[in-house]
Amino acid sequence: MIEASRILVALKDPDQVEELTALACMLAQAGKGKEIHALHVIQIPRSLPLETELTAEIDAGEAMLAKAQAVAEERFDLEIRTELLQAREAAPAILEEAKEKGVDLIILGYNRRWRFGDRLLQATTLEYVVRHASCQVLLSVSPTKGA
Amino acid sequence: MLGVPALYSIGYGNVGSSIYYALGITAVYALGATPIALMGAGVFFVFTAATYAEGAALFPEAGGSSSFARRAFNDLWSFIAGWSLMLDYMVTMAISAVTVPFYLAYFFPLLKESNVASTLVGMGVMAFLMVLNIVGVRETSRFNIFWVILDLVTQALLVVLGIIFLLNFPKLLSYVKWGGSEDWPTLGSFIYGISISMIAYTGLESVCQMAEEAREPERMVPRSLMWAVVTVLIMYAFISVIALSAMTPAQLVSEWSNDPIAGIAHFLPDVHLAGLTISLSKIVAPWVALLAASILLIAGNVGLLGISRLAFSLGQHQQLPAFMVRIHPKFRTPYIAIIAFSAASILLLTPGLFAPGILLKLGDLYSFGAMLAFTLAHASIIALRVKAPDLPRPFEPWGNLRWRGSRIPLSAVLGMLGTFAVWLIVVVTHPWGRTVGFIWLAGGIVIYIFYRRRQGLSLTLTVKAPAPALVEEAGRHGR
Repeated sequence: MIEASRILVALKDPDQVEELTALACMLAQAGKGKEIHALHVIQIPRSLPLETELTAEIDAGEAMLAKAQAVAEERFDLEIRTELLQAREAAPAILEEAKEKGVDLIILGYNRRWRFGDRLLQATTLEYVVRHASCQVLLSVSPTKGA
Repeated sequence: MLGVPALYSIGYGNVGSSIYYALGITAVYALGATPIALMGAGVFFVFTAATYAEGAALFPEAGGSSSFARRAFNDLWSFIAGWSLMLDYMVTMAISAVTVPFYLAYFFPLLKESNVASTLVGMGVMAFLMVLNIVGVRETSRFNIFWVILDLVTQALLVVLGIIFLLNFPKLLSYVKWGGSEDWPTLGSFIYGISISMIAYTGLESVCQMAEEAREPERMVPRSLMWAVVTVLIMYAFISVIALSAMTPAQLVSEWSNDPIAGIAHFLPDVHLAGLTISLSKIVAPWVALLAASILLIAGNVGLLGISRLAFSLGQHQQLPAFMVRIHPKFRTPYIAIIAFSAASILLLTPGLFAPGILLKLGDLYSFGAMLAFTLAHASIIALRVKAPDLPRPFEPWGNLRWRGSRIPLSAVLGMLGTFAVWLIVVVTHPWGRTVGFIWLAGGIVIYIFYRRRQGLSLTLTVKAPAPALVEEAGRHGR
């Protein structure tokens, strides 16, 4: 059984918010979990300054984090802290956040139903996090179509 | 967040890439005195790097000298600095793009023989970069570090091989002839050579643009800038001396002015080892051709990223019309700015379709814009020392003058005088640079005045439009 006192759940896909948040909450309840952090990273293209506010991305990110908060509160009676970050690359941002918060478990999702290009980017991010994380990493893979 | 290796690689990747064209351009005027001209320009480069290190550590944001001028003076001066920088970015993009075919000529000789063919390929490279940036392909900082290491290793290898097989001090000294000769410049030609050799130090702004995403920018940016400066100066010193040992100034100017590093590789001798004859030239030349083309492509791309960010920064401060920095609904990139500035770069290449010598024209233009932007950067740093002496300055260059109770950085004073003097030389002696440069400047000021008046804003007031307003349209269509 995975034991973690501080958990960071990185949210990217709106379809996986519920499943990943629930997983984090269950692990926190089953173990000695004290803190759950939900994170969404907005990747800013290099042709724009890092502080550029992309309203559509911000709205989507905030909606995901609000949904995560609602799931934790309504289904598990838990409070989670949320963070919306802007970065050039998601993976280093996730790792820096994990380090800053002192988490001992990072939960990530992988959506097999995404288009090839998006899946490739997703895999690159996951691979980087898995290779460089100094804590445990849990990967939740979405079911394939029809499963 | 970026650390010293990533920032250094951006700095060296940009400044170091200019060796592939700057050596030849400088040699056209400075002939056998090219190493001296490059080192002379290098002195101003060191002063300018010190000024940028102080400014970027003080204000780690996109904008570079335009940002410094905004804080030190007002929005009009900030616009002039930013607009001049845009010219430099466009020239860097154009010159990098058009140098790619000159190096690829190793595989396709037509590219060296026909200025039309090389210009068309250069335009194609620029168009390719434009599409790439509109779509917004994500390259990582690790990708840049990899190429810079490869570039550094190759340049170091050329230096080592050059020292062993080509370096020839008697030959270098034989060029010296005061008053000018086929191999040695007149004083006027030498000064012209120094002014155009400023092209050797393109890319300084790129590190400052990255300051906003640096880890501890107050420490990392000055450190990476200084390392990049030291490496670039060492490489330039060695490579220019080796080039003039391998070929005479006349050969460099007539046969290898567009691809001088390929010239060094070409003149590497055959080595006899254990009964085998190894042709160093046949091994190194294709590698140099491929590497130079790749590095120049990356440098052109960084130029396009830089100009997009600068345009966005000016747009945020209502110094450029909002439509210029509109974001693409699908790709989320500033596509209008990317298309406009890429098209302008392609336009800058058009003289190459009618006559050879496009690199010299672009060099003229670069010096015009860069010297103006650098002069303003130095002036801003000096003004800030007087106006806001108590600002916490994480980095201060060595050496200060006391003036009316303020500590004025010596490097900024010397840098300002030097870069302004070079700008004046360009204005007086470079007709193409002067004409196109002033047209660009005048055009920009007209757009600025027209836009500010239409917005009911003063020309000098500093305003910052809320960022969402710039991307509102994208937000509506985005998802």
